[in-house]
Amino acid sequence: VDLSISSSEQAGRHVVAVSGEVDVHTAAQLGTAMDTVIDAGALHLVVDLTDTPFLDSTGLSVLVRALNRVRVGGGSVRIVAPADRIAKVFRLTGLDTTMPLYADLTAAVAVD
Amino acid sequence: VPAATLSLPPDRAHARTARLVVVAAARRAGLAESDVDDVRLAVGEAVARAVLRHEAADQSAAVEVTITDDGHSFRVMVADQVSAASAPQPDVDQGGFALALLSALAPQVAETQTPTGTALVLTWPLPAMSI
Repeated sequence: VDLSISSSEQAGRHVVAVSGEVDVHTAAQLGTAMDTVIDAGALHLVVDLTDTPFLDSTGLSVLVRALNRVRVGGGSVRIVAPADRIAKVFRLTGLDTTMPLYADLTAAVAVD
Repeated sequence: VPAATLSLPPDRAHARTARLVVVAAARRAGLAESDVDDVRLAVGEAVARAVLRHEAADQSAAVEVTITDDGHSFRVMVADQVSAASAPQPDVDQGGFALALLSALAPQVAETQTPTGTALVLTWPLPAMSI
């Protein structure tokens, strides 16, 4: 009962919406959810962190692993992070260059 | 004089406990809210690292978190009970992301060896007090 994760499809992209704090305790749960959608064939992923108040390096590791998996098939991972507190984690580690950041879900699924 | 000391069982769920306590102490110490966000993440990283080190070494002793506020700086020490000489660790640093965040978020980061393990000391300067 730590993370609530839902997935849906929008404009040909697979959206994984995460609600709750992603940390050393809960990151594995996110990893399992990402593996499930990738195993089902999803290639272009959007991870919606709008309702994620906290995300640390264990969360980043899980997302990088997902990115490495979909990249093999030419896929991508986009991140929706309206809160600076979350966007900052990607910027400080340089991961915003491989997993682009968007301010809202509409923008993340709209851009080509 | 320590403002607070926490002894946490090396359980992953306690990373959140540590964050909550340290954030409350940082606000009380007078840190700006943007610094409080940095404290939350940096201390979260340090505690997660300590817990993972304990897990890897099968060490059930407590992780000690000591918060100090001397009026000039806000300091958090996270001490594990795993000696540096113990067996090589698995990837407790999350491919380098943990240490990258720690050094970017805390103005001062020092790693020291204690008699029983390793301690990370994170320090933030406090805003000058108005008279």
